[in-house]
Amino acid sequence: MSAKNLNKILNEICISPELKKAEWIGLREVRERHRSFVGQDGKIRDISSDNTHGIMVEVFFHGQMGYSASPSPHVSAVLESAIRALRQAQAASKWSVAPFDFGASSPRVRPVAKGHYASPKSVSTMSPAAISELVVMMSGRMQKSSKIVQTLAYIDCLDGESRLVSTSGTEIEQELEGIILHFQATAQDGSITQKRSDGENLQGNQQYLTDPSLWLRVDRVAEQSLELLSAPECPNETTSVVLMPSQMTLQIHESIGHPLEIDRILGDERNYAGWSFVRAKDFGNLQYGSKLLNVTFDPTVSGELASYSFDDGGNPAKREHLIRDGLLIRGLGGLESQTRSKIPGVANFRASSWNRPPVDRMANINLEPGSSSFDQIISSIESGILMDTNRSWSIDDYRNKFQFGCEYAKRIQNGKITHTIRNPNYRGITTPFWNGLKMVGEASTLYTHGTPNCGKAEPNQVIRVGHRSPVCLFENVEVFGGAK
Amino acid sequence: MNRPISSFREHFESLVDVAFKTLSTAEVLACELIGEDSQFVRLNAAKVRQAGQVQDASLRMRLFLRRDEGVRSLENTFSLTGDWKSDESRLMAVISEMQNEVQRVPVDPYAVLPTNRGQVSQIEEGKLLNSEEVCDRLLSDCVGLDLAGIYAAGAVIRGTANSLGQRQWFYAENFSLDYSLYTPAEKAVKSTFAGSRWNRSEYLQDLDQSKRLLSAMENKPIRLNRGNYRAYLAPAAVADLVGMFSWGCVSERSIRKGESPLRFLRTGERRLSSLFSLTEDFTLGVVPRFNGEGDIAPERVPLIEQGHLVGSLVHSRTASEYGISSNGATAGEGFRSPSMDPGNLKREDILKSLGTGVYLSNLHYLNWSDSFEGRVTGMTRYACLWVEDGEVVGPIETMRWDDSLYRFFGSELLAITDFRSVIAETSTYHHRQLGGMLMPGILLKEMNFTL
Ligand SMILES: [Zn+2]
Repeated sequence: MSAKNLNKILNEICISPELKKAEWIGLREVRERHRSFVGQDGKIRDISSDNTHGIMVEVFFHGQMGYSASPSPHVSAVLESAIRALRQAQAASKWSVAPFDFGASSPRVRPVAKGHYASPKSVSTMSPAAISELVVMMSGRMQKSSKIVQTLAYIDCLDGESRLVSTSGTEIEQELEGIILHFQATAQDGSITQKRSDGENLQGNQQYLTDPSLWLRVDRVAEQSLELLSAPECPNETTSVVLMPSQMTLQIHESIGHPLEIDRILGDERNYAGWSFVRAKDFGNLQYGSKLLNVTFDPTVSGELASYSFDDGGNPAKREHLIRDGLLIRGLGGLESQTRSKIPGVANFRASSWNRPPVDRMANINLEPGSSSFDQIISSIESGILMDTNRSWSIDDYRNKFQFGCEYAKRIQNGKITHTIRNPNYRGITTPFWNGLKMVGEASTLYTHGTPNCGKAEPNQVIRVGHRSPVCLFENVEVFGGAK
Repeated sequence: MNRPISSFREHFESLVDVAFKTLSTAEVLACELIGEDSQFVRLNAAKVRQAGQVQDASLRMRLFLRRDEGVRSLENTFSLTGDWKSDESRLMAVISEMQNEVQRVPVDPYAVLPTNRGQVSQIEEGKLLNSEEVCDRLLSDCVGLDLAGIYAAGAVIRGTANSLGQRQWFYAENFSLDYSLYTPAEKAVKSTFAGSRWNRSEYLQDLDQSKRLLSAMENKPIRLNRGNYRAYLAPAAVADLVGMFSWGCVSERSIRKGESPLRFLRTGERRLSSLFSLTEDFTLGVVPRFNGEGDIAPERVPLIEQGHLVGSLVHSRTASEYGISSNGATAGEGFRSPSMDPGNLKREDILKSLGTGVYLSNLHYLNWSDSFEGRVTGMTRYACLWVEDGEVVGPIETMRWDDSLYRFFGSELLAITDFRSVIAETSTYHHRQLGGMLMPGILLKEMNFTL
C-alpha cells in the first residue's frame, strides 16, 4: 500500500457519520520483516522470518487521544477501529492529563507534513541460503580450542516501511533496511567461564558481511575469550578509565539518553522505567558534564540505526545539540511533551510498531568527537584501565547511581597498554561521572553502534536507537572485579 | 480486525487444515497462534495519558523437510487479519515460499520433529470492565491521589497445531492494574491489582493498603552508608531475584555449557540453604502448560529442593543435542510460573525478626555483576524502609546493592515467610505476556549495599 492508498482509506472512513465528533484522525501503517539466521557451534540453529503488518488509528476528541490498532487493512475494519479509537478518546477526555489544542487546522502536536525517507539499501546479493551458510561458518570458525564451549553467530536482516496520513493533510512514507550482526564465543577452563562478543547494528550497508576483515574480527573474539580465562581479575580501586565506543554507547544511552526524555521528567514513565533527576529548570543551567562533553540528537546520520526524516507525530527530524560544552540545553521530547513542559525538544515521538502509540524515545544520540588521538589518551595515563564491550548494565529509577560491566579490559601503566584483565565493572553517579570526562577522542576514534532493544513505556515498547561515540577518558572512577 | 478474537479458534484450525493439505510426505508443519484483544489505559497523576485498544493475531509456522541426509527446517510468522480470503492467500504464498527455501538451507542435526501431543483446551473466561467505562471506574476512586500506572485487560489466545494431528487451545480473559502512588516528596509505593473478574471492593482494598503503606513513606528519608545490613525482602522483591534464575541459571543448556552459576550445585561444589525450594509450577493456572511447539510440561517441575539442584528446564532441542528428555520448557529455558516454598516466618513477626535493618518492598533494574558466579546488582525502589528494633523509622534514600544468589538463597537466608503472594506478569513487550510467580518474603542475615 502507498501513502496515497492509505489516504484513500482515510477519506472513505471520514465520510462515516459515526466519526463526525473526531477533531483529528491519523492512520499509521507499519509493515516490517525480520529475517533471522542463527548459527551455533558450527551448525545451523535457527532460520526464521517474522512479518508484522497493521494499522494504528489515532483519534483526538476534546484534545485527548484515543487509539485503536488492528492488522486488517480493509476499509471496514479500519472504520471499526477508528470508531473504537473515538470512543476511547471520548471516555478518556473527562480524565485527560494534558488535553491538546485541536482548534487550529494544523494542530501544533500533529503538524502537517509531507515527505519521504529511505535508508541506505542493504546490498541484497546474499540469498537466505548464503546467509545461513555464513552464520554456520562464523560460529564454526570460532571453535578454535576445546576450551571454547559455545559459539554463536546471529544475523537479522530487517526491512520495513511506515506511512502516516492524517485529516490535516499529512502524507509521509519512510522505508528502512538494516542489519543486526552479533557473534560470540564462550570459553571455559575449570570453574572459570568467560564470554567475548562483537557485532554491528546499522541501517543499510551490509558490505562488512562480505569484507575479509569480518573474519579477523571473528578470530579475535575467539582468541580473546580464551585470553580472558587466564587474565587477572579487575582490581578494586579508584582510577582513570578509558571507555571504548562499544561501552560508551551504553554509558550515553543509560545516563544521558534516558534521563533527558521529557516524558520521564513529566512523570509518565515513573511506574515503569522511572523518572529522572533532571528537572525542567535544569535546561540551560545544569553543567551535566565537563566542557568536553557535546551530545547531539541526530536522526540525519546516514546508516546509523535510528535515522529517519519524520517522527511518528509527523514532526520533521533534524540534528540538535542536547548538551553543549557540558551544559544541558535541550531535552528528548516530541511536540506533546514540549507543549506540556515548555522544555525545548526534538522530533522523537516514536512507536515501536503499528500496535503501540508513540512516546518520547531516543533516536541517534551521539557524542561529538574531540581532539585527542587514541595514543595521546593512553600516553596521558599513569595508571588506569581500558574497558571494551558492554555486558551488564543497571541504573536507578532517577538515572543517578549506575553500575556497568564489560567483557574485556586492559591495564594501562605509565602511558602504555600492558596486560588483559577480566570481569571489569565500574560504578558511579551520573553528573559527577560526566564531569570527570577528561579527554575525548578525535574523529578517527569514532565508531557507530546501536541497539534494537531499548525498552520503555506502558504498554511496553522496544525500539531501535543508534549511538556514535569516540573513545573517552574519565577520571576517578570506582572499578572492581567479579565474584568472590 | 475482521472477526472477534473469540472466534479465532475456528479460523486458526481452518487455516492450518489448508496448510497441511499442501505438504508432501517428506514435510511436517507445526503452527502456533498468538493473539489478543487488549485495552490499555496509561495513567499519570490519576488522569489518563493515552487510552486505546489493540487487536492482534499472528501465525507462526515451522516447516520441516526430512531427507536421508537429515532434517532441514525454517520458520515464518505473519500477521492475520481475520479475513478468510486474505489470510488464506497469504498462508498459501508463505507455505510455497518456505517449501522452496527449505531445500537450500543447511541440515539441522538437532532439529526436533514434532509429534502429536494430542488435544488440549483450556478456556478461562473472566468478567472484565466494559472498555468505555474503564477510565471512570479506575479513576473515580483515586481523587486526591498521585497515581501513575497502566491498566491492561482483555482476551489472550494461544493455539498450536501440527500436521500429525495435534490441536491445543488456550483462551484467557484477564486484567491487571500495575500502579504506584506518590507522596509530594516523590516517595512511592507499588502494587499490582490483577485477576480475571473485576471487583470494586477488592480494588478499594488494594488502594487502601497502598495508601496505608504510602503514609509510612512520608517521614524524612534516611541516607544509608555503604555496607552490609540485615534485610527483609517482601514477595515482589523476592520475585525479582528469583526472576534472575530465568537468565541462564535453571536452563539445562546453560548448565551444560558452563554458563549457569548453578553448575556448582550440579557438581556438588556448592549448595544453597536447606530452607530454599523452587519449582516450575503450572498449578497456578496462569499460563498454558504447552509451549510454542506444543510440548506439555509436567504440572510441577521441582528445580531446587532444600538447597540441592534436583532439576532443570529442558527444551526439546537441548534434549536432542544431549540425548536426554525434555520437560516441555520453552526455547529460552526460562520460568513461566515459578513458585518458591513458604517457610514459617509469620507476617506479624517480620519487623521483630528483622530487628534493625532494611525492609525492601521492591527491587529495580537487576543485572549480573558476574553472571557465571551468580553475582547480581540492582537498586532499591518504592517502599524501602529503615527499621530499628522492630519499628519502622522511615523511607531510605535509593541504594545500589551487589550480592550473590549464593548468599541470598544460601548462607544469608535466615527465614522465609509462611505466606506467599501471586506476582502477576504484567509485561507487554510485543504482546500481553502470560505468567505469574508465587513468592514468599525472605529474611537475610546480611545484604551488601554498595552505592
Ligand atoms: Zn533504553
